[in-house]
Amino acid sequence: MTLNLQTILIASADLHSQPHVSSGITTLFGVLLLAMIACLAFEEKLHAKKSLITGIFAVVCLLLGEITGILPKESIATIGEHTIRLPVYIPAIDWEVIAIIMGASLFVDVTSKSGIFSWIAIKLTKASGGDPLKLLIYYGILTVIFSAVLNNVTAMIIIGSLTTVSLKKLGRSDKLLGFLITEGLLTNIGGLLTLISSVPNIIVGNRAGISFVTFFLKAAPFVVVATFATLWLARTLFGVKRLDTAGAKEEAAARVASFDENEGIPSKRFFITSAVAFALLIAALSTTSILPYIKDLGMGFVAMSFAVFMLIAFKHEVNKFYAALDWDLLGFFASLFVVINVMEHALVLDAVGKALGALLDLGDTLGTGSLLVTSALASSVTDNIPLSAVLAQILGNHDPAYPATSPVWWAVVFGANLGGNLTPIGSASTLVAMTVIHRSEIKLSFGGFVKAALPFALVHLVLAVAYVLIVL
Amino acid sequence: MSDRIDQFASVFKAAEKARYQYDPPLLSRVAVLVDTLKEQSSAYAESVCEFLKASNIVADEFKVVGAEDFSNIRQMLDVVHAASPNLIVTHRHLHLDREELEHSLGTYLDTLLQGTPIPVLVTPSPNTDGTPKPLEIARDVLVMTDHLLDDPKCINYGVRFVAPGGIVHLCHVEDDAIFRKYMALIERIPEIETDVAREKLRAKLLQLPTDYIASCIDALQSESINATIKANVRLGHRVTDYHNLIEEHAGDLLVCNTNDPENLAIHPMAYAIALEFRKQPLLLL
Repeated sequence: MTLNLQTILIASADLHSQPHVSSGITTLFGVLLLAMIACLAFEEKLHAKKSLITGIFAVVCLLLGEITGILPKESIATIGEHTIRLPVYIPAIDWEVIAIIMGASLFVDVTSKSGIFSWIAIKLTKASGGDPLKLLIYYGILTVIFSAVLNNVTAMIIIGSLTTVSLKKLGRSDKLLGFLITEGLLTNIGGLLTLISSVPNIIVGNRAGISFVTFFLKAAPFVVVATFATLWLARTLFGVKRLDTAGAKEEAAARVASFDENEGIPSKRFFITSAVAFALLIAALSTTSILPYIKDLGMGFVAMSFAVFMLIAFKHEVNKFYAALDWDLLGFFASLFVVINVMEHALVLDAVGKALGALLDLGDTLGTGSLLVTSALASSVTDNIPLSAVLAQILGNHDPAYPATSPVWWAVVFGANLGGNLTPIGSASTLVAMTVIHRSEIKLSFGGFVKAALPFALVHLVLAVAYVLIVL
Repeated sequence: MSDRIDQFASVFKAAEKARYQYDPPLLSRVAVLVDTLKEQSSAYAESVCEFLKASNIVADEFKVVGAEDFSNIRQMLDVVHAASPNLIVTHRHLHLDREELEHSLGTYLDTLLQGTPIPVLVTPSPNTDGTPKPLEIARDVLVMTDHLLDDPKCINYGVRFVAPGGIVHLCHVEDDAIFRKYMALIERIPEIETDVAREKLRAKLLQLPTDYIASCIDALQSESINATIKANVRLGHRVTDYHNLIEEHAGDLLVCNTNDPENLAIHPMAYAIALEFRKQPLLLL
């Protein structure tokens, strides 16, 4: 069978011709959505993984959707002369998002084996000469950069692990808590830098049609300001000072000099290949929207292509990398998209959209600002991914459509990312920070984290609201 | 998540390497302890003096403590305390019948090793007529340890005692029996892949001292020390392997640590070496 890719058409459900949905059905599905969000918020208490929680709700929603007759009977893809019938849950999933996440994860997993990230981190540690304030600044900036190019969790794991080892080596374990909290918060700042830095960015950016370069240019000034504000606040609140005597400086420098940045590099060739591939990936993602052929295939194709090429280095053991993929995250996304699709058919998103409309009707300033703060508060207690997925869908369906330049998209992006800084469960990376803190035998409760992080989170939100309203 | 945190924590812990810094020991006061009268021990003292001089060790104070100065352990400790030397030179079986005590160092030497923090250079016992056995110039010094990374002191002394242009053999033997014992346990844990664990554990056990020796070579080169450093890192049976190493390199001086932080007794490995190797001078720290 010859496939003419240019003629592929996905006939998704036509919402305007769907059957009548009673308010009772909308309420029923609305309750299901709230229940799912509540279960995700209590994920740790339930001892259940995200993918299982959303998977169960996806199954229940699909079944109830069929029983109540709100779902379209079929989705059809036509490829040239051929017609393919797809179950309703297949086109419900945003495969572009899945491809970006899967490709980027595989790529990062493979390149991290080259030792490139640990090499950069140790080089910076040595460059600091063991001075606590320099370390805070270097690690802070590195956290932001790693969060921008990797995922936030991986960035926090790398920097958190190194911070633990290096502060112990320097005999400054008393500053560990302050460092780890600061780094946890900075992952969410760094997560704002590019379109692929965090999942809310991918979902909202994709839905809004914001290009990689535009996203970076608009987010970068805020990230720079917020990073330095965070570091200044951390220095003040956690009492991180420079070393003041020549003897102390000499001793600290000698201690960090014993780190060997080449230890984690299995092969110089692979190391260089990874560094070059990383630069090429960023370049390719930045230019996806203008590259002939590639622009039609999208960023998911770019991420998957780079992952596949990097896997050549481990061609006999690729299964190890497949096994290491975060299938929980991928399963979570897939089932979440299905749930949201059903909610769309049940007109739950319409109802939420009306409430959101009331919020946005407060005006360009108050409405957008309120959307940002509300998104932040919501994502501080539950996962920011369903939140951004639901809001992106609602804003995307808005009539008249919001252009890609509208600040409302950014209100969701900033709110969803920064809300994670209010509580330790607000984002996966702050949860990692808590795990590293507890592994270091430092006692820090939920309330303790909130108390320590609140000044930072408030500064971030004030800066974000001002930035979105004044600059964007 | 925990396994990924472990993964990176391991990378950074592995990158944190102990680095050697040369700190030459002070050897300005040397006390030679013998169980004969001083006038009968002049040949022994002279041979010791020559041995030290060949390694550029010239003490400001060189004191001979003879049988007239002590006749029991308390007196010996008092004399040593009063002299407060940086180095004691003596031999096994002070005040004892040497022929009957092949399996002991003698109570005087035992006490010196454990009762004072002063390094003791143990020479082969003199002949029954008091004439010393010849001491070779320390051209090949073997520093023997099972924890090289924690023993910069052993290396400092080994380097200080080697004759100009000589070779310091830094030897580190990991106990194969302990390795096998842990591997036998790992074989019973289904979650751990045995072959991978064996390979990684073995490699890491040997890599740590190897890296440390590399840092020794760098540090000593930067200090322009006129000696060659050679690494001997292996997994095996300590006494057997040290025996082989000594024979292989014709060691002129053996250096090892006697302090066992776990208990009052002499470190078992050092004790075994001190009993086993009686023909070479031993520097026991």
